[in-house]
Order: sequence, then structure tokens, then C-alpha cells
Amino acid sequence: MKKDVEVDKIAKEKQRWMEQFKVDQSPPITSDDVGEIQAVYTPADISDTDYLRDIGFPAEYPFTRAPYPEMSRHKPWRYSLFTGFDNPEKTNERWKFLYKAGQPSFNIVYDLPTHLGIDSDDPLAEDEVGRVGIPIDTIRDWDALWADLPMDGVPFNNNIETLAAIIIAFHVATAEKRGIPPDKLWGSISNDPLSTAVSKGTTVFPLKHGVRLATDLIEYSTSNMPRFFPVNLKAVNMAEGGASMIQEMAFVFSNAICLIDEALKRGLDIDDFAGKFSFFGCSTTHLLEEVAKWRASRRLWAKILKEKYGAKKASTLAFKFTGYHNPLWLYSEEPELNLVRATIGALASALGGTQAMPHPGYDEAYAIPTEKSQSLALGTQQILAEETNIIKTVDPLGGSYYIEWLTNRIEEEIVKKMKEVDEEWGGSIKAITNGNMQREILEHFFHEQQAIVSGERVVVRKNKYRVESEDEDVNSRIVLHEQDTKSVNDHVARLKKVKAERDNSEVERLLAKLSQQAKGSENLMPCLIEAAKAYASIGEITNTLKGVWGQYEEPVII
Amino acid sequence: MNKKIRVLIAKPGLDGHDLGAKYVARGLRDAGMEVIYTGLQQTSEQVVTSALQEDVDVIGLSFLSGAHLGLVRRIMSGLQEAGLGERMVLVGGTIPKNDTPQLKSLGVAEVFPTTTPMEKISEYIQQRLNKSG
Repeated sequence: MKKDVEVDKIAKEKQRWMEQFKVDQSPPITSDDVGEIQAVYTPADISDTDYLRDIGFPAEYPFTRAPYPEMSRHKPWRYSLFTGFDNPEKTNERWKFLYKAGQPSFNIVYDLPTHLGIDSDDPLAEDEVGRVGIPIDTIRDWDALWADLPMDGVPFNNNIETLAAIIIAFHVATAEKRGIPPDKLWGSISNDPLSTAVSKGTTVFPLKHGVRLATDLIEYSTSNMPRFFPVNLKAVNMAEGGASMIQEMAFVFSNAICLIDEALKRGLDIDDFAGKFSFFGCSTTHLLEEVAKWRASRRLWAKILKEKYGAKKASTLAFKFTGYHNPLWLYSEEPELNLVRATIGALASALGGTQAMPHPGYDEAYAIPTEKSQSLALGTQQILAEETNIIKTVDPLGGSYYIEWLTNRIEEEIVKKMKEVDEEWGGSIKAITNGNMQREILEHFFHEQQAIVSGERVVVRKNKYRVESEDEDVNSRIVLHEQDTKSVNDHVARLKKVKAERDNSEVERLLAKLSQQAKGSENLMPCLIEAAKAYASIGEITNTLKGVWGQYEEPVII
Repeated sequence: MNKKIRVLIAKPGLDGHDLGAKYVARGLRDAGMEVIYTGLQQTSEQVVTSALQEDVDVIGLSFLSGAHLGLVRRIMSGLQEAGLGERMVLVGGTIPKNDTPQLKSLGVAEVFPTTTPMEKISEYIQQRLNKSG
């Protein structure tokens, strides 16, 4: 009663203030994501919010503030810049560089042929081997990547969506050959065939088969790899594809629900596997909205897991994420300014409570990063975590009237959008097959591009405050990454040697076995691991599966 | 009567980042051209076949992965063989400035990196083909 009287008084005073200072007559300011943004926020604007019910404490339902009790207070979030290029040896070198520069984790990106299950010696892979990530064909390459590194020594995080199961088979096979059992392996892998079908296009199989393969890995990992996170959903794909923050989270949650439902069909208990789901998303320079988005995502995920699935364990209910500045919104004009943009995005993730963070290079618009641009990227995070004191308390912006209002609004909008996916589009697989998600994201991207062209959305040096001389000599002052052709050729030569020297009849036998199992519903992981040990290539394995499942056909939308 | 300019927008190679291609496709459509977009993962043969089947005036190739030189070389020779050597070929995307001369020597008419304003592309096509789309 006393609280209501106080809130009423504040509301009246706010009205008085707005009239007195003519704020109610000044042009309204709106955000596409949350509607009108007011000049000032007060307790009256979050009067329905109950601290214990809606905000609570870290590591407790509804987890609004954080998934863990102390977060980065004693140890920074996991610096996790990913890398991969040319061949396993060059990638190994860059990993070591990053490790010595203060990144205690190995994080990898794959080249396009590997993503798509095309061997490096395939004509389709020409010009693309090792260009945007590491090429991996057989476990001989995996062995080279991990040559002098401890496979169970640091967390190992993988950026690969559809063929995750094959990569983990390679990982387990190689580790077992070194006497390391799968239960010692720690890290994560995307294993998200749905988000990549929405955006980025590294889809290989028709969606229901991609989901089957992903669920095989979830099931295998749940039983055999207790330290491993077999699902790291790629909200980032949607964000990098031009999605709004609402679309990003609504669509990725819908995709998560699809994978959860598949795992439950296998008889797994929600508390056995869903706690090992995590998310990889984007922040942007819209600092405050992004912090609120992460808080809203935590609260909403907890509600979904509790109310829809009856989850009980804190580790299941707690939303965990990796977030970095969206590379889509980094530019070519005076690219050094991208250092600033990426810092703000990183700050948003940090204040939003991220568990780990990759980081784009400032040269993102030009090429994959050099050692120098990765050193700057890593240093940015290290400064944020270790020079600013922001990590000394958990969820420092919690309690801000604006942040709590934003958190509420963003949660509302994500819920609305998820309802549309479920009730109007028929769930993720239908929505993606029919192109609903893709169409909406594209419209949002075009809308943003128009806003940039018109100048309504400011991009410093691009559409406002242009400095012509900056564009002229950018090529002379930035050193860009260049592909090392010799390394790539060595890699292809290695593949040819492996194919010539292995027991080819054994490979044939195992691929035939895989084909049989793919027709049925057996978990494919044991067979994939066997095939990996026999040096079957990623291309041979993928082609075997395509032979049974067919190939994904993209709904073409402009 | 002014026939509409027909443009093929293609994504050769394995890369799935298609925002640039779609943005240009839409921009050319808004400028009154007829645009056919191939979708992802087109081989050089598929690009040439589409250009022939659709009888396009312009072939636009989008590259964001750095794999442009080899693919353009193969596409240009394929177009020659198919009797389309005189059609306008444009390249867009993440193209290092230093590669532009090489692309032009292969027969590419013009290179439009990612910073290019949309109207520059549509005007280039309209002026060169002397049509109003």
C-alpha cells in the first residue's frame, strides 16, 4: 500500500516535470526494437516489477542477474578469440600466439569446404581451402593441429554448425589414440543446423536430417562427455545476417526448442542435457539495449525451461552465452574506428554477463585478422576485464530504472515474436523451410541499410563526418592477412598421402555401415568415431550421408 | 519500346554470406531492371548456364570470401565458350584494391567493393547499356 502511494506520487511528479520542462511537447524518440524511449525513467515506470520475483539473485531463478553466483569477480570471462586459416600447422601457431598473449583457451573456425563436407582435394574446394578458416579432412589433420598441445588441457570451442558430429568424432578419435578418454575433453561446439539455414548457409542436409545428426551428438555427449557443451546455438548467424535483436533471440530460442524437443524424444531427461546448451550471440554499440537483451534472455530462458519443460536444476535453467560485437556493423571507412565500436560491443557483453567472448578484428571489413589485429582485439577485452573494475560486482546495471524497463520491454517483444514463430509459422523447421525467418531478417537488414543511406542511422565517417583522405590511403596503412599458398598445398598433399596409405577397404566397409545406420535411427556417433579412426575423410563421410539423406535446398528469397 | 535490362546476380563458390548480393539484386530491381538471383553455392558452370538460359545483359558476381580470382577466371572462360564473351560482367564484394587490375584484365567491366552506393551500380549499367531499365 505504502509502495503504491509512493509510485503514484512519483508518476504524478514525472508528469509535472514533463509539462514544466515541455518535454511532453518535444519530438518523441523511438527505437525499432522497444518503441518510444522516454527522457527519463523512474520507479513508476517499472512499478509492476517485483525485485525478488523478477530480478532476484545471481544463480537463482529467474536468473535475470547472472547464471553463476560470482561471475567474473575472481576470474575474467573466458577470452575466446577464434582463429583458423591455411592449414592445421598455421592455425596451431596462431593458437600459441594467442595463448601467450593471455588467452587460455583454443577456439577454432573452419574453412568453407570443411563446413560443407567437401575435401580439400575436391574441385569444388578450389580457391577456398584454408581461406576463411582451418581445412580439416581427416584425423591426420587433427593430429597436426594438436601436435604439441594438450587435448584435455584447455577449453576447446568450435564454430561449426551442421557437421559438428563429424568434427567431434575426429576429436574423440584422435584423443583416444593418445590415451585420452572422451570424458576428459572440455569445450563446446555450435552443432546448430537450424540457425545456419536461416543465415550463413553452411547447411548440408535437409533440416530434419541435420537435426537428427545434431541430436545424435547431444545424446552421445550427454553420456560420454560430461565436461563438454554439445550445443552452442548460433544467434550470431541471424545477427550477422541483419536480424534485429528481437529477431535474433526469438529465432534462436525457437531453434533451441526444436533441438530440445528432439532430444526429449530420445528419452533424455531435460536436466540431463539442456544445461549443456549455450548461446553465441552478438552485441552492438547500442550498449544499454544489449545489456537489457542479455538480462531479458536469461529471465525468459529460465521461464521456458521451468514452465514448458519442468526443469529443476539451476544449471539447466541458467542461460549461458558468448557475445561479441556484431561484425556486420563494422565498416571500411577509417577502419581503426572499428576498435572503438568493437570495444562498446564487448562492454555490452561484459555488463550483460557473458561467459566468454570472441572479438572481431578492426580489419573485419577487409580480411580475416592478422596477429596484430587479434592482439588488439584480445587486449581490448583484457583491458575491459582487468583495468576497469566493472567485474568487481555482478550485474552492475541491475536496478537502473531504464535498464529494468528495457529488460521488461525486450522480454515482451521476444515472447511476442516467439509466439508468431510457433503459432503462425509452425515452429522453426517449417519457418525456415518456408523462408519466414529469412524474409523477416532480410527486411530488417534492408530497412537498416536504407537508414544508413538516408543518414537516419549514423555511421561515423561513412555517412556523417566523412574525411575523404582517410579512404585514399587506407590500403597503405593497413596490413592485411594474406593466404599462404604453400601451406595450403602442403595440406592438400597430406590428404592425398593419407588416402593412398590407409586401409581403403576398411574405410569402404565403415562407410557402408554408416550408410545403413543413417537409413535407420541408430546413434551415428560410434560409427563416425570408427570411421574417423580409419582415416575416412570429412568429404567421404558427408557424401555417404548425403547419399541417404539428400542435400538441403535453400528457399531463394530476395 | 524499351526492353528491360536483364541482370543475373550470382553467388559463385561456397560462401553463404548473401546480404550484398541480395541488396544489389533488390536495388537493381527498384531501378527497373529484371533481376534473376541464383542462390548460394553456384559452380562456375552453373553461373554460365544460368547466364545463357536467362539470356541476361549483365552478370553480377558477389564474393565475400576472398576466392574471387580463380572463380572469375573460370567463369570468364566459360562465358567465352558459351558465346557470351561480350556480355557485361561486374564483380562486387570484399575485393582488395590490388586485385581490380587483374579482374579487369580477365574481362570484368567494373569492380564495386562493399562501400559502393547502390545508385552508382545501377547508373553504371544504365549508362553503359544506354537503356533506361
